[in-house]
Amino acid sequence: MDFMKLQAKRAMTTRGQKSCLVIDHLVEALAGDPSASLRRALVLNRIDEKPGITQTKIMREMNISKSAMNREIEWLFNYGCIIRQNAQEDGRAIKLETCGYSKQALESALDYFPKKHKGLQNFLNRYIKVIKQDRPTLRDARIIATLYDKGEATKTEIIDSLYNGPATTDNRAYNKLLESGVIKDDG
Amino acid sequence: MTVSLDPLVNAELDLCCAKEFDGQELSLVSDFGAKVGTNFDMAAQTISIGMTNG
Repeated sequence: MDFMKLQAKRAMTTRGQKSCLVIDHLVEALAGDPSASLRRALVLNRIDEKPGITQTKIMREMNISKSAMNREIEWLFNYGCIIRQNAQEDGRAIKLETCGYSKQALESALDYFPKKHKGLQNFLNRYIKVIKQDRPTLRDARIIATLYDKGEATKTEIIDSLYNGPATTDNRAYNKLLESGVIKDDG
Repeated sequence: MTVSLDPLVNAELDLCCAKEFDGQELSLVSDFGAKVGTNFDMAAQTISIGMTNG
């Protein structure tokens, strides 16, 4: 994207709208799955930031257990978000790179951040912090972003802003955020 | 019936989005005049001290 288009993209939307759009691009980057965790988005972002990074390095940096990290990498590989290559210097190490539709959608999300990957990383970590759940998902983040954008909204408006997933899953996510006090009933 | 974000969550997102989208460093200023920055623990402490001091 050329510089003028990029500037226009950044300028034309409010911070709330940008938040919603960033999360929508991340859902797209993660195989259209709003149940993907924000941590998975962080892993994808880190791989894109440093092509050729190894699984072990990300595991150490993000303090993720080996089994959890294996699951994240398997998922990303199976859904065509990353490619894996054996490192020439160390046959056991596997180098990772983003690819295809996922890389493209992630790039669209990164357009909103002047600091690129670092900005997206801070954004995701802030959402993880405010959602206060064990494994916050992109769906949870989109509910929060919708309310951040609109100020207030009905439950129907919030659910409609999600990704046409199963109604029970959307309702559960909404109720959990309400119960934890992250969103408040205006009564 | 409508819902909205917890005000602290809203403020946290404001600080983060202003910084990461627009490069603006916002800060909070408490009712007691002290600039408390972006650290909410510090904000709570400042408010608590302010209340104690009347």
